[in-house]
Amino acid sequence: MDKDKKELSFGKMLFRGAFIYNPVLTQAIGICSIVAIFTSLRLSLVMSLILSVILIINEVLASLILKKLSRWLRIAVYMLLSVALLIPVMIYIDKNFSETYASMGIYLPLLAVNSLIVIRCEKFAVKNDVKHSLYDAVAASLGFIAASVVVGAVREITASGSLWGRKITSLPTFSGMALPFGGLIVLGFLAAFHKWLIQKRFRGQPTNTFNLRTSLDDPVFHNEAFHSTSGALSFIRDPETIEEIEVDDSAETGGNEEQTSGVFGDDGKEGEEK
Amino acid sequence: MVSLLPKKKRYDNDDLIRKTDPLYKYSLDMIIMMAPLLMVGCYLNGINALKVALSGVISAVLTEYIACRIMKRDNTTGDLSAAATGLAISLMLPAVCPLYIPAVGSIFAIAVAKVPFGGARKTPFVPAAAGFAFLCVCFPEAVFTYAPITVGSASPVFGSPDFVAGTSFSEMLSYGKSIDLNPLEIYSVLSGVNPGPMGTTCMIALAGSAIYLLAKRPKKMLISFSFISACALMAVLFPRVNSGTLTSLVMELSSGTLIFVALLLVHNPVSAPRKPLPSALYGFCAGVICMLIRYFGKYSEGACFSVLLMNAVAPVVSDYAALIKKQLDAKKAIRSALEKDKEQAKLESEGGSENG
Repeated sequence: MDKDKKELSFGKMLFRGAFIYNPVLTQAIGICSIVAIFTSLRLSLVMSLILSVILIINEVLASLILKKLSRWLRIAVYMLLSVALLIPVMIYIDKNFSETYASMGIYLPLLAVNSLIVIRCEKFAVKNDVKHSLYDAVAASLGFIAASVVVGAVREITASGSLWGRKITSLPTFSGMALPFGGLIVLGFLAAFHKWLIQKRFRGQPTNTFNLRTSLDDPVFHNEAFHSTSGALSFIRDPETIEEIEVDDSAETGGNEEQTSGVFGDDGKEGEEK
Repeated sequence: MVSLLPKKKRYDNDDLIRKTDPLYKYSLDMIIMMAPLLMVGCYLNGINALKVALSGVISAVLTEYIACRIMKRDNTTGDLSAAATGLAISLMLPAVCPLYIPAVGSIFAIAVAKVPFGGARKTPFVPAAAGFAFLCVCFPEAVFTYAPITVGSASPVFGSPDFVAGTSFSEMLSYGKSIDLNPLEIYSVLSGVNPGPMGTTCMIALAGSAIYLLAKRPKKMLISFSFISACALMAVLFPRVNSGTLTSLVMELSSGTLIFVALLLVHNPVSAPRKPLPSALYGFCAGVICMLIRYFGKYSEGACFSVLLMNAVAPVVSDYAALIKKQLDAKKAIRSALEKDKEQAKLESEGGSENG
């Protein structure tokens, strides 16, 4: 099994960690700062870069040193480490780009307690070696950067008609898109688009094999089928090793239809009686 | 022998299905209730009101059609829900707003609040409320700027000398100004001759809609009634004007889109609860939230926001109401059991004394 793990290439892990299991779009990790503050392209790029640096250092150190600590202590150590990394960055930004610092507000220090760090460290870095932890950190942070940059760009264009501070369109702008609800709407549509892309990419395979909770670190990772080259999703189809995967699309849609038709059905009867 | 009479017209199957569809009936009822409001709006504001309404309806129906084509679903424009949504949004706007405003609201309502959730039969939010809330957030100047009304009473009926033409009741309330409750003023409130959203100022037309709703769907009326009564209670208990509770009541209820939302949007059959106790609780909470948003919020209009908030927590309201009902039933059962015990004890004691 260990040999198989070492064969896992960087490109494969990048594809899975950044695209298929994008931390923002499939698992909704760390969307607090995206929804609240990523209202422009520049801001979202800077903040997600800072977060990704913190994440990479955290994961490497976690897989190097922290494996033998107990879990409750490890989480506190991640926090302290992130804060220690953030303080010089904050001082630097405050001195050189004070306007950007003001627009970041409380959300820059809050990056230290971003759930992306704890989740990636606890679920992957502690259980694996340094090299693969580094790969995983890079993949997750690239996924985070991609999603946040797209959200920031869309929100900047729709809210102020500009991109990277330059005016590009003269269409009517919607100032509401800079508010948190605009971020949630953009994120929701982006997640739907991402799911559509993946379903298109893996057409022919059953669509309900996707479980949002499944990730690189789940029991799937230790399955041999995962390391085979055939189809990135082939490992999910093995029913014996994975028991969690039970996303039943038919039950959801069918049930809703019946219920809602019942809702309107009652109304119709009510109207007919009168 | 071949009969020369024309063949008896048979119903097209699709047409029959469409006409027995409950969603179609509900939307048709909504449109029938909104038609007099649109007429009053056209009378008061001229042809511009009709243009605004047409812009809203056409963009809503077009968006629904395009979205259905893109999603490869059946065309659902025939059930009239999109048309009702567009009409409701445009009736809550001032008649002088630019024509792209109702179009933007309708497109947002259909493309963000309705189609991604699976159409009108599944969406948890009232699309019209979502569209109007989006407009309030994005274009507050266009949505809350009303034109002075010139039809009907020519002289300004508002007593104060520093009265500015086009000041709506909700704006006056937020500044603490009040009106005199003289008969002329009451007439203008009833007939809708005061600045405000184009379809929601005329109380007589709204009363007609309320009677239609009461006759056609009395269960829905419970939610509307509890919504309005909660608002009235808040207006009486915490008035924003100094000239008496009655003035406060009249001004709060007739300002903005409150009664329109109560009669047309609160009781959306998918999102609102259906049993009597939960629906009363739902309407009451929505009314209280609406008044709180008016008192403390950034915008002078809170009805649509409160409807959206209550849509999000509607299942919780239903559960909570079920819990209350359970506790009440349990108390009743305990009381009746105690009374039975007492009666039995009495009977036994009486029997004992007789025997003794």
